Amino acid sequence: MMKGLIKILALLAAVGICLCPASVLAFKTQFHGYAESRVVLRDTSGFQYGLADDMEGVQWMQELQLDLEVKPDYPSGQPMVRFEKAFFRYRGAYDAILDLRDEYKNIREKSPADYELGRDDLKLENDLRECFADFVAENKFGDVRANLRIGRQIVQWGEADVFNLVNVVNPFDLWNKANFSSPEDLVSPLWMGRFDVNVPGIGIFDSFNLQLLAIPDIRPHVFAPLDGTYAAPYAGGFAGLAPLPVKENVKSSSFDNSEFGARLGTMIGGSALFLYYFEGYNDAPALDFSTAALGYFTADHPKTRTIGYSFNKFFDRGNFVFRGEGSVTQDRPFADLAATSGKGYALHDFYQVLFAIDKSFSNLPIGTGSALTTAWQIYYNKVDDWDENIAVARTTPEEDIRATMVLATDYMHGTLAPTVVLLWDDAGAWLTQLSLNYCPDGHWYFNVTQSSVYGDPNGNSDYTANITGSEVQLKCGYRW
Amino acid sequence: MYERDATGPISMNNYSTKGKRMKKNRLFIGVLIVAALVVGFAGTSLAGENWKEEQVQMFAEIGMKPGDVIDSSNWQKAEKVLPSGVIEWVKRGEEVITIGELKYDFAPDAEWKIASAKNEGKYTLDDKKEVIEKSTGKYPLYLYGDVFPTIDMKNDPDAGIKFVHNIIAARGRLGNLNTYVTTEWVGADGLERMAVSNYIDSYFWNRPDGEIPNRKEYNQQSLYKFVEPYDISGLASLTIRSLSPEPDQVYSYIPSIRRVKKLSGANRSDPYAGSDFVVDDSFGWAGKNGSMKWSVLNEMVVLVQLPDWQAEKPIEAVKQADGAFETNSPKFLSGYEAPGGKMSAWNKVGAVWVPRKVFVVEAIALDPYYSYGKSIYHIDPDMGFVHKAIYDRAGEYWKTMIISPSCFDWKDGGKFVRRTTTGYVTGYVVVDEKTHHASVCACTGMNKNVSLNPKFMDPTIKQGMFDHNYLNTWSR
Repeated sequence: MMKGLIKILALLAAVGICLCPASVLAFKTQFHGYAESRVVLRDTSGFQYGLADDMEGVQWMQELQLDLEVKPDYPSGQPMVRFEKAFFRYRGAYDAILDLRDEYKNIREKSPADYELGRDDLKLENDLRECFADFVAENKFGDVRANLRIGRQIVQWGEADVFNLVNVVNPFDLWNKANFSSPEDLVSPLWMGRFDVNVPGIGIFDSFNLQLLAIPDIRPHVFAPLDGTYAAPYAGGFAGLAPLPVKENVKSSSFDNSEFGARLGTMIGGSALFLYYFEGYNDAPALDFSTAALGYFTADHPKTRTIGYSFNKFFDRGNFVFRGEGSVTQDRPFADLAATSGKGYALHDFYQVLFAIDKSFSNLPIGTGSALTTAWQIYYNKVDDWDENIAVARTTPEEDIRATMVLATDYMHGTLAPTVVLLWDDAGAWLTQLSLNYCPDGHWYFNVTQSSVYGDPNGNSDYTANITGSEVQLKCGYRW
Repeated sequence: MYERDATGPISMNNYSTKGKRMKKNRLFIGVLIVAALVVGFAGTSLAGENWKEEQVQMFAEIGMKPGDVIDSSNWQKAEKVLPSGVIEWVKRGEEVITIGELKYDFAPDAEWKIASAKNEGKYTLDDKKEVIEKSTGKYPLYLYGDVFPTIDMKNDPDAGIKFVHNIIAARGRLGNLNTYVTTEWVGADGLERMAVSNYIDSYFWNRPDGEIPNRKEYNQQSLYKFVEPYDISGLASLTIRSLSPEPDQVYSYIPSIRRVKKLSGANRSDPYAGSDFVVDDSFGWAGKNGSMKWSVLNEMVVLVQLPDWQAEKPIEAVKQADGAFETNSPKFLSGYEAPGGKMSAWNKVGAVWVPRKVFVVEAIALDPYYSYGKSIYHIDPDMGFVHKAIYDRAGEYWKTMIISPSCFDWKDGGKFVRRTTTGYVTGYVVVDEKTHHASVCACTGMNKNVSLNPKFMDPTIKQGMFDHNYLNTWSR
């Protein structure tokens, strides 16, 4: 499948070159990247049970990322249909901790199955993360514009931070960076076709835009090995999750492994409103225990459908942005050992809604000339037709409320930037993430981040398992 | 009295000479319409008749001459013609003022002046101080020329904002602006870091190519994208400014989350990316005019900073094969780029200071949470904003901003097309006098292999780009 996609991309690149008329004399390029070294220390008992008293190193990653953007120059005028640009991102990494710590040597080598990582995958990364080309068509006045983006790419939907109500397009890459780094690094890029078209609005609508997605090669969330060897170094709350090996069960033929999505957006008086539809597969694993007799568990990915909306509006009076999202995901799997299917999970509709306020505060007496930017979110979800009390096997709460607060500012002319993230889950957990970034010259950078969870160790929050996995990350690098 | 004089240069008349000047204008308008047509074919500019005499008169008034040097030994000579912040720099030996002279008429062309004269009496202000058509009470979707060609600077209570409306509206003569700028963080020891960004403006008023559809009653649309450093590269924003008093619509694409976020349109006084600039400081003033109370305090001669090459002749904007007018001029260097110099790291190398008559205009934000208290501007009708003295909300002197204006002669195949002045600048610097730190914005020349020379009337700038959804594909 991958080879086929590469052939398709090569063909499209050839078409793109043909769309570049003879007037293209040169290509403009931008080349950026970084090299960084990162150490992650984990308090295996959690900060809740003694601050940094059981620390061990779980990652020593050396990482290199390279970005290349190529744009054609049209000195005699842009054609109305044209090749617009191409973008490539490479990331390579080596985690020395897997060689330094003997206990990590028990992790299995590469799995023969698709989508399952092995020790070699954890130790070395060599990935063309993004690789796409943009083709543009527009009318003479330029107010109707269509953009076709083909290749391996990332699409993020919605307005919410942290929570993913309608952000269901790309799966997550959670094998080694669950709490740190840029959010885009937590996303698994997918090969897909993405078509965007913007048209002027009518009446009260300032403009309309439509985005269509076709994903011919699905992938599940990426984890480190989901089996008995998944104890270190990236296990966190998943340590010892499964006593048996886990095999991924992902559709892999013809249209069975395809996903489709559409997003319709409009602007009304400076406010944005989006409607979403996505038909695909549940990226998170639904563990099927019915195969235990065969010596393994199965990670299923049932077919799901998500319908949702998002909006934002700026209020001059009060000077804040109000935003929100809502969605229903049909047939989402939830762990249920009492499920009649005998699989260990059952399919239910899942409702989510979120409201948020973003507001900046200037002139605060906190020793900085910059504003303090804040974001406040309240989130609610409900599993349809679900009674959490009917079986001890149902660990997911029927209803859950969560709230987040994000504070950010900068000192010393923007070179020193602290960030505070707090998350509260009424199922019994608090998550804190405090980060301090220092970048004196725009090139060298240094970062320290702590991430910890507090709460009831017997609670049924999604974050409970991380109470015993508080982490501190130290990072330094050079960007160009 | 300030009035757009159709005979050539802007006149800076005494308050009492209005009637005399107006009669002179009417007499010449008919002749000049014909003359302007001739200009179009002859490929030459109608220079002002008496700009040289006015310059000589200004030198006499300030008691200086070209070639004079003002430094820490004789700073008293310039005490009344420079902002107090600059005088302090001179006293401390951080700045040396070299007096220069303009070799040409730094004023827009005759076609602009004729068009401005035709706007006499057409426009007025609504209760929020936005421009409306006097005849219909509606926002003008398009206009050409100064909005208020005659302003009674002494007696009109709205003189300040009318004057600023004129200056800002004239930027529209660039049509579609596409350029790169660098923002440099400069401390006492030199350059600390630098950001490169792509800046795109599309105007609705004063476009040389005429009116374009403006169904949503916009005034201006801007796109901004950081190119480097890498941690913020791809960070892009869209700002849409309405003709009405509505606050700006602001959207920002954040590459790390691959999403467009709606931002507050009111936080215009927050520092820009940790620099000494706030968002409204761009090009001297980039805020919504109606967000301030503008008061004209007086008229005076001051010294205006220019690169020496800009004092010699206008920058040429040459028409390219794709239709854009592209410029090519040197960078206005800062002290840190000239090792061995005695001046501070942020002050300009190769600068001359020329005498100009300006209006002193006070601006006080209507927003009680605006980070600045009052700002005192020096505004030249032809050059635009040239100095800005910024006070904090406690009334203490805080920042000094020096803006170096630019003058462009647009050429098509060697033929003169038009001359624009207030639309763009060669650069500007703001110095935080409390922290002794500066931020420099360079707008022309080459900076670390990046061409900062602007393109005007760039045909690659299309209306469909000014949509929040475009930010997704403009970046990565």
